[in-house]
Amino acid sequence: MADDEITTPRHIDEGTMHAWLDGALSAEEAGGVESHVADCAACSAAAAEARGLIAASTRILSALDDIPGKVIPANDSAVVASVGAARSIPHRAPSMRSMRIYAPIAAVALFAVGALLVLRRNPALVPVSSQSRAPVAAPVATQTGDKVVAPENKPAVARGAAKVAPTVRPERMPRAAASETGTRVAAIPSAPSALDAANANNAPAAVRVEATGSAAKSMTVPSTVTSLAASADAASSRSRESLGVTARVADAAPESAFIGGELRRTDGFTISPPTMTGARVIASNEFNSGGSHVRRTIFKLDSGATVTLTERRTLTARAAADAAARAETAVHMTPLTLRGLSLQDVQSVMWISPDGTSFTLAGPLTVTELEALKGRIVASGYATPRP
Amino acid sequence: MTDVERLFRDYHATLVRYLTRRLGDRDWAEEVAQETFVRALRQNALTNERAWLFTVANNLVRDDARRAARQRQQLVLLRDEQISEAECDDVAADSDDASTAIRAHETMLARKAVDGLAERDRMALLLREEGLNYGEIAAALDLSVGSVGTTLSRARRRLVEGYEQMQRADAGRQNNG
Repeated sequence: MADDEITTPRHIDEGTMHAWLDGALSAEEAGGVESHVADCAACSAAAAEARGLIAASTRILSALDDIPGKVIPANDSAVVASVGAARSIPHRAPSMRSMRIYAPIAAVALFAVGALLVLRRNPALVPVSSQSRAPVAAPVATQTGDKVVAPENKPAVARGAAKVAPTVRPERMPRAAASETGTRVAAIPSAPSALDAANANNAPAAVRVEATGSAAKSMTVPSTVTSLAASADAASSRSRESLGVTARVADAAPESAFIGGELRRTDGFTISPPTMTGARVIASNEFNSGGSHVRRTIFKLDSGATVTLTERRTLTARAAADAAARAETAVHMTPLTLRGLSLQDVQSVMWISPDGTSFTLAGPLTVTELEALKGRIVASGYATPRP
Repeated sequence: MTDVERLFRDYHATLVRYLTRRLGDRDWAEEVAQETFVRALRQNALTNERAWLFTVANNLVRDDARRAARQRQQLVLLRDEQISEAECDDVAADSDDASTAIRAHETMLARKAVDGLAERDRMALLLREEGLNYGEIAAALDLSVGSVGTTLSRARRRLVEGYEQMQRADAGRQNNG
């Protein structure tokens, strides 16, 4: 504004009024407005109105910070319904319930390549009470021609009070990049006896196994689990004989949803989300969003707080193209948001693992507490921060 | 602490809040925020960090929206239906806690009022709420600095008037019972 405009007593337009109240005018301009408003009743009233609008806007917008999201309810059918509804777009996902894998197990060849053995209690085979159901499962590496394809990681998850230790044999295992389509085998041995024992002992465990790329990391198994390993092996070797191998064609980064304790992927494999000591997974989902694969897991800590771990991995160009061709989209499922929490209460920490996956951990904790939690996640072998 | 960690500490919360308010979807907001910081990693230096972050976030939303607009429409419609029904159920269930019910209702009204703004007006207002100055807002939205004030005044007026109108309509409905 030129000097002569400032000194001329002209009413202040609304835009300038707000700029003045927002502190966006130069000292000179502001001075001009201020002196005019002091002398002009109309502009003084306009200024008061503007102040009111600014304050009211802030108040109204802060109402948006209350997160009305819903956590997946305990009732499976309700969850399936909501998930199904959210997926009404044409999607090649078969019905969730029909895609249960009935505990096949790896063939000897798997162990020859250092397969990861994970105990799985298959609800279909073993009658369980709703209380102690321990959904677990991780597809195991298999051989596809010359290429060994390993699935995403996942240790067992126990529902309910018992945080059961899955039994994991720590072995090196290459991990399949999302773009590798190949034959995946769900090698899911069922060893209910070991899990029952673990349930009974109420042994908490944090097992998280992951292998990345050709330079596979060694997997860490917390000491609390090792005692179970022996008994589990014995049990699993018995069941091994009776089960066969199921091979399926895997898509790049299939989508999944967490339903009542078990993670069902759209390609039919059942996997389990990561676990930590003192934390229980209550929900998890994976989906493709743009050029990335996203996995989100919600944990309930012993303290009662709910935290969310989000992983994001860039898909290769091919995988992203595949996803686009199948019209996969980001399923922004509000059911997984933190319910009833104001954004003010939620803090986050973020880190990148060596393979480029970005992680965000968010929850109603202080940053210090989140950092500690991050440490436990990392210590369980789940994610390593960049050096 | 690395630079990105500091950047994250300083700006993540405000970025997520802005995106949540703008998109009405906390999950989507978190994803966009995460992707924004991942991109920040690739930058050697950022002169105006805040403006850069918000600009990139806006671009990501725009690109994301373009790519999946049609599909998301269906999802959003379904989700909103579920939410509004669910909220009613929730409100009924939590009706012991009157403040919860009131808050949920206010959130819904706020959401509608904000969605009733033109997109640029909405973005300008939300950016201002996060403390961006006029220069940063102009840069993020590709506006002239001189027009930011007018944009904000218009956005605020429409937001408040729209909200109050809905409140009056609600009250009228209740009275007519």
